[in-house]
Amino acid sequence: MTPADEAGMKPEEIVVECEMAAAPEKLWRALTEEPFLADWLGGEPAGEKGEERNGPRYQVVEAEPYSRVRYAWLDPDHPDAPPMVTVELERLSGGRTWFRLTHGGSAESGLVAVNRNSPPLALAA
Amino acid sequence: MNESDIFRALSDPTRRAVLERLLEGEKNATELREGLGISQPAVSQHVAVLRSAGLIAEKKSGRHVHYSLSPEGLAPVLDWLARYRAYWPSRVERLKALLKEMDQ
Repeated sequence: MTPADEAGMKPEEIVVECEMAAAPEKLWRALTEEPFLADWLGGEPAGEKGEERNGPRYQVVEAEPYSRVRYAWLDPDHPDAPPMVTVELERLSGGRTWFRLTHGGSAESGLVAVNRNSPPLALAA
Repeated sequence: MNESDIFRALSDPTRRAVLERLLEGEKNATELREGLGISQPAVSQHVAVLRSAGLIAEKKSGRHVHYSLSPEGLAPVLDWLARYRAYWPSRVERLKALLKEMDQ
């Protein structure tokens, strides 16, 4: 598993894909349920206590069961970097799953935009 | 110039093509336009965006303007890429381990 081949890749997009030894249903739990999510994703859920923390923050903004989940991602060290992390799942035979993570997107689509549309979510910029 | 301008400048395929052409070396406006299939005003517009993002530099010599890459302008993007190209593979490894732990 390595970042996707750089040839033809957008400079502002990072892709990691691999086969997982788990069915989409099980992966789905890890991708959407706390505390599994915070464990592997390595960020803090947006809008919760600890706004003063420095690490990356995330929020699930789209979830299509067993096939696609999108997280708005804000890294305070790179506030203007691509703000969307998308995970796509594809069912394989034998209870396995093809997993693809893409980090990209334009500044308009991320947590900052999410915040603008839903005032209750307070996110330390 | 800030990081947001840089990412926005890079989000356009024509502007990425302009940067790729400049990887070959310094070019004037006419040389830059060759093969891009767009009008000179359109090229100028893209060049202006790239300049204000600090990604290319221009140098006047006589009647010609020469454009070249400004490598330090890309530093914030390279910094981000370096961080997340290392970050995501390690997080995906953690996810694999987590899937195993979920069985127990």
